[in-house]
Amino acid sequence: MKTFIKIAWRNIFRNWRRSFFAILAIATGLGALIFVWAFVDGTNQQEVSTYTSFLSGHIQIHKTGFQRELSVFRALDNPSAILSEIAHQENIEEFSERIEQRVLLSFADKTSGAILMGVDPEKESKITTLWKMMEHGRFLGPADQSGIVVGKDLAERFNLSLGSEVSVLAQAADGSLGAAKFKVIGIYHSGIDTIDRVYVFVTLPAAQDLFALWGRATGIVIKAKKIESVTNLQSSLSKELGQGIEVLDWRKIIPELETSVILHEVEATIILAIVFLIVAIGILNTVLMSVVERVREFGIMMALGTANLQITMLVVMEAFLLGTVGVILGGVGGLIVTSILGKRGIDLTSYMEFLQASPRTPDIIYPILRLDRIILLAGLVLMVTIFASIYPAVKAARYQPVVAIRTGETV
Amino acid sequence: MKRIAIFLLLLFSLDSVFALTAYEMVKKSENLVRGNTNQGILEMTITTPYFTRTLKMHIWNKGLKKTFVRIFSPAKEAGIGSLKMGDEMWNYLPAIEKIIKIPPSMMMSAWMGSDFSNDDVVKESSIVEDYNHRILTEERLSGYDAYKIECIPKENAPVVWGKIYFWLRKSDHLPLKQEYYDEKGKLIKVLESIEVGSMGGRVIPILSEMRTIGKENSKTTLRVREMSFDVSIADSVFTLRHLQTLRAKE
Amino acid sequence: MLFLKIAWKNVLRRPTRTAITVSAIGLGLAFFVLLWSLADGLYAQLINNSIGFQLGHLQINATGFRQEYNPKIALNESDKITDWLEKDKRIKNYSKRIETPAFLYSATGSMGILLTGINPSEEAKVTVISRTISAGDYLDERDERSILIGKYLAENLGVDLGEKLIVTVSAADGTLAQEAFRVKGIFNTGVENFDKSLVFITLASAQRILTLEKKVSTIAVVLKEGAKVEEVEQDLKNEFGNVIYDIRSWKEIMPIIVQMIDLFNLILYLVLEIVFVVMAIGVSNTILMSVIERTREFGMLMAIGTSGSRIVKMVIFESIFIGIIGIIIGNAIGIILILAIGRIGIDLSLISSALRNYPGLMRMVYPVIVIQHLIIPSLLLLLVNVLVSLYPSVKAARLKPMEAIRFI
Repeated sequence: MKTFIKIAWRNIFRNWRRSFFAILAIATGLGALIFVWAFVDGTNQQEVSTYTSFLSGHIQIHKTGFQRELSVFRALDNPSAILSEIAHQENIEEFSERIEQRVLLSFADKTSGAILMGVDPEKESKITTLWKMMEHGRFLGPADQSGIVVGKDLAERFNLSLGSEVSVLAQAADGSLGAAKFKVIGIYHSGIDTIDRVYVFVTLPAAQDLFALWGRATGIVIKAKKIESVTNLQSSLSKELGQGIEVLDWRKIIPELETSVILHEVEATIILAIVFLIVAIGILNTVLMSVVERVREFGIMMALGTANLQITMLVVMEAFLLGTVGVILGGVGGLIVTSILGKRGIDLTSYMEFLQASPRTPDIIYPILRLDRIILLAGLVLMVTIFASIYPAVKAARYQPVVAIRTGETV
Repeated sequence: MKRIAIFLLLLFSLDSVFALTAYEMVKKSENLVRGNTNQGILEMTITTPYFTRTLKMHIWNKGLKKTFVRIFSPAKEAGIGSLKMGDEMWNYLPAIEKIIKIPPSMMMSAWMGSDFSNDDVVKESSIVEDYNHRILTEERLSGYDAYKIECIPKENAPVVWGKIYFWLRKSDHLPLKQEYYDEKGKLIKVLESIEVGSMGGRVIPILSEMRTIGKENSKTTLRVREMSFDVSIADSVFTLRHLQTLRAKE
Repeated sequence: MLFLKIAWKNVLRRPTRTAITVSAIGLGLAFFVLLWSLADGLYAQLINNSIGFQLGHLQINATGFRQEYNPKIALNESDKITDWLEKDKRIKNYSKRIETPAFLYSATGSMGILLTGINPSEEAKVTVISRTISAGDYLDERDERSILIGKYLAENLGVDLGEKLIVTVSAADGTLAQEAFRVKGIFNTGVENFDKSLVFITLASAQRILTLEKKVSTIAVVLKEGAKVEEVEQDLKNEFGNVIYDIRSWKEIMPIIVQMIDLFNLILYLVLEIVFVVMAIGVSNTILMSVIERTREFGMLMAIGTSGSRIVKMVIFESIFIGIIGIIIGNAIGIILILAIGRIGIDLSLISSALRNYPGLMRMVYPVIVIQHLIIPSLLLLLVNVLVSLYPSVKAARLKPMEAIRFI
C-alpha cells in the first residue's frame, strides 16, 4: 500500500500541469458550490431579516388564542411581569409591549376598518424599521398622545394628509365603545401594501386609554440577537411562560414569508443540484483527460509487468490524492472567501440597476457559512472525483499493452 | 232541526272567518309591542365572561322604520345616539363629536357590545314582512297557552336565518319567545320574554333576554323602565341633526 | 480558408480528447439550459396564474378607482373601449367586471371580501375560475341571485351549496344595500388568498345591488401569444388618454411577482458566472495541452513561413470549433431533457409540502424554452473558449522557431 501511495504521489508531481488542472477543477468546483449555497442561504436570511424588521419582529408573545382574532378580551393581564421574567434570556436583543387591535377609522364621510398598533416609540424603534420609512411628517414620539401615523395607501384611501383629524372606534376591554380623535403626524411607506393599507400607529398610553387596558398590553414583540437563534428562543420562552401564553415566531405571524423562504430553498436545491452536476462534469472532464493521455504510459507499465488491477488502483489512488488536495484547497478557499464576503456583504446595487429594487429584495447579501454543508459538499466532490477515475482506469487497464502503447500516441 | 244545523254551520264558518292567519298574528304581536309610536326608557344589561355592563337609554319609535336611541348612563357612554331610518343606521359619539354611518362591515357587529347586532336593530320589523308564517302547534310556554309559529324567510329576503320559531300568547299575541336557526337547522340565538307586565296601558314583555348559543355565558337583557304608546312624536326627532344635538333633558 | 480546414483537421486529430472535452462542454451547457428553463417555467406559471386567476394582462379602470375600489368611480364609456379591443388583433379576449369591497354574512360568520360581478362567458375566456369549480356549477348569465365562493370561504362561513349568504355593500349612491344570494358553486384554485377573498356574481346582479345601471368598473384584457404587454398598454394610453382612464399591466398591479423573478434571475446569473469558470478550467486544460504538444509542430510551421498571428488564429479557431460542437450537443441534449421533463413535470411538493399559500403557485413546474436563454449561454461559452485559448496560443506563437523545434 505504501508503495502505491508513493508512486501515486510521484505521478502527480511528475506532470504538474495536468495535476494542477485537476486540482484546480476540483477546488474551484467545490469553492463554487460552497459559495452558491452560502449565497442563497444568505439571500433567504436577509429576506427574513428585512421583512420581519418592518413590523412583525422575530417573536411575539400573547395570551393564548389572541393571534387568531385579535380579541381585546384576550389582552395580557400583566405584561410587565412577563417582561421581568424573560429579561434574563440571552438571545433577546430588545423587547417591547404593544397593543394590537382591529378598529374602525373614520374621516369625513368614510368609515372603514384598520389595525391599530399602540407602541412605545423608543423601544419600538430598536425593534422595527417602519419609523425610518416616513414619507411625510415623522413617526411618534413619547409625547405624541394624540398623534397617529398611517400608511401611504391608507392615507390615499381616506384622503388624509398631515394634520387630518381621524376618529378611531373600537371595542374596549370593559365592553364599552372606545372612541377617540387623533391627528395625523406622519405617513409612512414601506412598499408592502398589506402593511401600508392596514396598520396605523399611536402611542401605547393612548391605546391603553382607548381600549380601557391601563397597565396592560395585547402582546410583547421581541427582536432576537441572531436570526438563527429564533427557533431556540421561541421554544425556551414557550417553556418558561407556560400554558396560558402563546409564543409565536415570525413563521406563525407571517406565514407568507415562510412560504417564500421555503420556495427559495426549493429553488436553491434545484440550483445546487444542477451546479453540482456541472461541477461534476468539469471534474470528470479533467480526470478523464488525464487518464486518457496516459494510455501509452499505462501500456508501457503493463508491458513491464504491472498487473491490470494495479493500474486501476494506481489511477484511483491518484484521483483520491488529487481529490483530497483539491477538496482541501477548495474547502479552505471557499471558506475564506465566503466568510470575508459574509462579513463585508455582497453589494447588489450595481446589479439592481437592471433589476427593479423592491422592499423585499435586500441590497446587500451576507453569505452564510455553515460548516456542516461545507463538509457535505467536500465529501460529495471527493466521491465524484474518485468515481470519475474508476471507469477510465478500468478501461485503461484492459488495453493490451502493445495496443495501449500504439493507441496512446494518437489519442 | 234545520235551524240548529244552519246555526252550527254559521258558527263554524264564523270561526274560520274570525280566526287570524299566522301572518296577522305576528303582525299583531309586533304592533302590540310597538304601537304606532312608542317612547320610553330601557335598561340593557350585557353579561359576558369578561364584563357586565348596564346601559340606560331613551328610545323613540315611529312606525316600523324610524328609531332613535340616546344613551344616558353610564357616564362614559352618555350622549351616544343611534338613529335608524329604513335600512340605514347612524351612531353619534360625543367623545369624538362625530356621526358615523354604519358601514357594511359593521352590520353584523354587536350593537354597543350586546347580543343584538346592528342588523338586528335595523331589521326589527323584518319578522313581519320578510317571512312567510304558519302556525305549527299550540303549546304551553312559561305558563301560558301559546301558538308556535314557523317563520321561513321569503325567497329574496336579505336575512341570514334559515327559519325562526315564534311563540306568542294565544290570548293577546304577546311575544313569548323567538328561536333563530341557520339554514342547516342549528339554533343560533334565542330571544325570550322573562317578565310580562303592564306599561303605558298595555301588557308587554318588560324583561327580555337575548342569548347567543355557543357564546359561553353571554346574554343581554332588556328591561323596560318606562314606556308610553301612540304619543305623537315629531319627525324632527329622527334626523341627523337631532342625533348630533344633545338636548338638556336627555 | 485553408487554415480553417487545417484547424478543423487538428480538432479531429485527437478524437478521444476532443470527444471528452466536447461532451463536458455539452453536458455542462445542457444542464444549465435545463436549469434556466425550469426557472422560466416557474416564472411562466407564476405569471400565468396571476393573470389567469384575476388580472389578465391588462386592466382598465377609471382614474381613482384602484385607490379605494369605490363603485361610484365607474367606467363611463366602456363601449368605446370594448369596440377598440374588438378591432385590435393583439387582443385575445377581454372581460367586463365590477369590483367592490363587500361584506358577506352567514348565520354564523362574516367576512370582508372583494365582490366581483362578471359576465360569465366573457370571464371564462380571460380567467380560469370557471375551470376551478370543485362543487356545484359556474355562473350563468341569467342568474340573478347566485354567488360563487371559494372553498376556504365556504368553510369559514359555514355554508354549503344552495345555502344563503347576505351581501352587504355601500352602493354607488352611498346607501347601504343588502341582498340575499345563494351559493351556486364553490371554487378551489388551490391558492388560499384567492379562495378566501374573491366571490363572484353576475354583472347584472352587481349593477343592480350597486345601482350602477349599465356601468362597469374594470375591463380585464388577455393578449394573444407573442403580443407585448407594454406596446398594447401604450397604444391604449395613446388612444384613450391617461387622464380619465387608468391602464395598468399586471406587472404594475402585482410587482411582487416581477421582483421575485428578478431576484431569481440574479441568482441564475451568478450561477452562470460560476459555471463558466468551471467550464473554462476544463476547456483550458485541453487546449493548453494540445498547444504544448504541438510546440514542435508550430515551430516547424513558423520556420516555413507561417506567421505567428496565423498560428494564434488557427488555435483560436480550433477552440471555436470545439465550442460549436459542444454547443450543438449541449443544446440538443438540453432540449431533449427539457422535453422529457416537460412531459411529467417536477412536483415541487416532493421537495417541500408547505407551498400552498404562495400567490399564483401550484405544485407542478414544467420547463419552458426561451430562445434567448439558449443563445446567451451558448455565446458566452464560445467566448470563454476563445479567451481561454488566447494565452497558450499567443505564447506558442512567440517562441522562436528554432527553440520550438527543439522543444520536447
